[in-house]
Amino acid sequence: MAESGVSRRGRRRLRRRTRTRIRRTLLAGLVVGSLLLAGAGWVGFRGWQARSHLLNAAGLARELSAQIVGGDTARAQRTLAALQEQAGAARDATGDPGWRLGQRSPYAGDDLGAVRQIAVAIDDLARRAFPTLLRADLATLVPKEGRLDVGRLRAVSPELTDVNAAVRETRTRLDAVPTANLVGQVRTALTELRAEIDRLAGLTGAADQGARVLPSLLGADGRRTYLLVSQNPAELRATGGMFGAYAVIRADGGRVEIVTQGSAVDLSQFDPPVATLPDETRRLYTDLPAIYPADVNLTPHFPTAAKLYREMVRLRTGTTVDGVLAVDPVALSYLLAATGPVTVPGGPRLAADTVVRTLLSDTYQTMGLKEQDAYYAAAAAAVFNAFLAAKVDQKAVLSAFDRSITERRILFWSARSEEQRILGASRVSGILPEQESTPTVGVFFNDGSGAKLGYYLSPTATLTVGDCQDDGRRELHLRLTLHSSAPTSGLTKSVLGAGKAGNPYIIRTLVYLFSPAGGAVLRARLDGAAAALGGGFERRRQVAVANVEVPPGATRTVDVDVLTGRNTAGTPELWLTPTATPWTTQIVPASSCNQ
Amino acid sequence: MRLSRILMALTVGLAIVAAPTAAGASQPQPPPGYVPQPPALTLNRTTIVIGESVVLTGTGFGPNETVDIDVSVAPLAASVPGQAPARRSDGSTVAMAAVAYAQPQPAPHHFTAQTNAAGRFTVTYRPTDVGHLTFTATGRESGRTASATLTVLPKKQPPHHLPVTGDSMSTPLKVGGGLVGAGAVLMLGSLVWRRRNRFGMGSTR
Repeated sequence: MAESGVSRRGRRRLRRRTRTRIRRTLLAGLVVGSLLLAGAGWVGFRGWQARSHLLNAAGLARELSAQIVGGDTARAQRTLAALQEQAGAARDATGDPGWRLGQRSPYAGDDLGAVRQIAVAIDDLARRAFPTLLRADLATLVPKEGRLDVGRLRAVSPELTDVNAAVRETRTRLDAVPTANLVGQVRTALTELRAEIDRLAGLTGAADQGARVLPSLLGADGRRTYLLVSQNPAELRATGGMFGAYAVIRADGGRVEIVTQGSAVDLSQFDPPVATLPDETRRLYTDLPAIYPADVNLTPHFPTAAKLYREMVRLRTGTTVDGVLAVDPVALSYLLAATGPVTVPGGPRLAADTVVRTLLSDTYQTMGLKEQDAYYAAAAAAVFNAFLAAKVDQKAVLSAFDRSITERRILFWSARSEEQRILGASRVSGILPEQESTPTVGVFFNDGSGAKLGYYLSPTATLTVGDCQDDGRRELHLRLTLHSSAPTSGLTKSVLGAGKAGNPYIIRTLVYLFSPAGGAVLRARLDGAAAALGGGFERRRQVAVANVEVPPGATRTVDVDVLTGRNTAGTPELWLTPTATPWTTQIVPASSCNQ
Repeated sequence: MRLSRILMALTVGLAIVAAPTAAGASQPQPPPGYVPQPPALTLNRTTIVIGESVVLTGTGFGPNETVDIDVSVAPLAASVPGQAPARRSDGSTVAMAAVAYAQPQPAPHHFTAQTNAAGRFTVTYRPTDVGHLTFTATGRESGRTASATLTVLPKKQPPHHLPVTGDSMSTPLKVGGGLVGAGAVLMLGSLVWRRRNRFGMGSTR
């Protein structure tokens, strides 16, 4: 009994001690828990504040861009002030020690970090980029009667360089934020902001480039002459279309005017060839580019084409130009959408939705050679006048040019190497890069039928990212389709031309498939069967050439497997010959190889 | 207004020069002969792995003529075939060592083919060189020449698929840590519970 009494007392003591311990543990747990809750609550509160500031800032930024484009300077200033305040507040809300501590916590940490980076990015833009864009008063830069104030353009150039640098810096910082583990909302916000900043960087980059190079190009340092050539996508060439008519234009102190006009036919052909082409080029294109003005752009590398054409014009006319500018009728259609229809005396009027058809199809069908020439000359004059006289919608003109340059329908080459360097590898330069960080697959068309049937061709391309290789390369699969909407009869001789494919209604297209730089073209199938491939190399890219003949109403499919170079990453891109009927393209990405 | 104005300036400049585009679409046919021809020498594949063979097809040569085919080899690193032979400091060229794969005879760098009545020939070639091979075919009577380039890659390593490890171990670690923590709490809880229970049972006895 005594024994049991002792043990009972001992047990009671033990129980009491255990209870105390549990109580202490619970208390400690409670304290830690409430501290954590308070911390989370604080960060949550600041997050909520940051969120509302960021939302306000996003709204204001949209307003601001509308006001900038609309030219409402006074209101833009007020909007900018409000934007700066909101962005600054968001930055503060995400900058306190609680938030910094929160960034180190598991799960929510990277989200908090990303929100912080978003706030910083918007604040940086609001303080460093937008004020400069607003301050530099460029109202006097709007060209009047074909003249640009090159002096003022030159004056604002350094500021634009700064703005561009600030935007690029912000972009680099945002790109470094990992998105993999973010919650949906933050990830969406980040992705949208990145896209927005990419667009902004594109704009400021173009503006910076333009402001640096345009004054001298437009004759600020002395008179310049250029060749303006129009590419005719009715007869396809790698850079867009056969060089048709050309004009010699003169730029002097910002004023641009047409000096003379001529046609590729006047240039005839050159025997001996105007240049000795490198072996690499001859293997792919033979000597044709140095013999015929119609073939200078069998290569997609625009500087080669521009140099050859310049030499041809020099030999025939004695004029040595400072550069070559190439445009196409589709770009013209984008511009006509901004100016509105233009009436052409003695022929159909030109409107955005019909100009391509009018110029590339109807004219060949309905007019004789002389009538065609007269009509084109009148059309050129009419469009020229319309641009100077009409009150154009800036926004629309901007987007028209943006689209034209993105689609590589406006190309420029300067004979001066320092200006070429500034243009760099931008789309307008048409330089096929020998090195690249993002793999580019090139698909270029050269018409092999000798006809003006390009108007009836509609291409599509789907690029799918494939397997990773051990050596850091990656396989890419390209599916290309070519559809012909040509009729089976009723076209005139001037459309059907040489009819090299036998039946003159069959469109023969030589498809040049360019591997990414340092990569390889593995194989190609035409409608499922192994295709006979010619080929060689150009600018560190393997090139395979397939002959694709499309009968009226038919579609032909080319499947190509290519390998990327060793040190490239990111979603691959397509570089395509701009066609009369725009391409339909799709890129199917995959996760990166080192994941 | 500003940025757009600059771009506006840019664009109007372009617009001015773009106007004559309309004139461009017009052109009478250039002299014949300008139309590019489909490639006369083609391959069934443009890239192979050493040990595989390739089929060369020539078209548009003279009927029943002998065609000489020369093969030049450039290393893979130099993308311009036949243009950059390796040189010693004294200027002499370094022969590229052919890598033989169970093929005692190295593939010839010169061979001939015979065209049919339609001027077409087909030959199969199995390279023993890794690199960019440029085939140049020249018809002995017609004088027609054509070339095509083949990339020969070294034999692949036996395929081994790397496991997908993910870019960070933090999430699995966090989950694991959380589970261990939860387990510990449960175990402690059950210990306490069992103890209390046992004592409680003892007290009733």
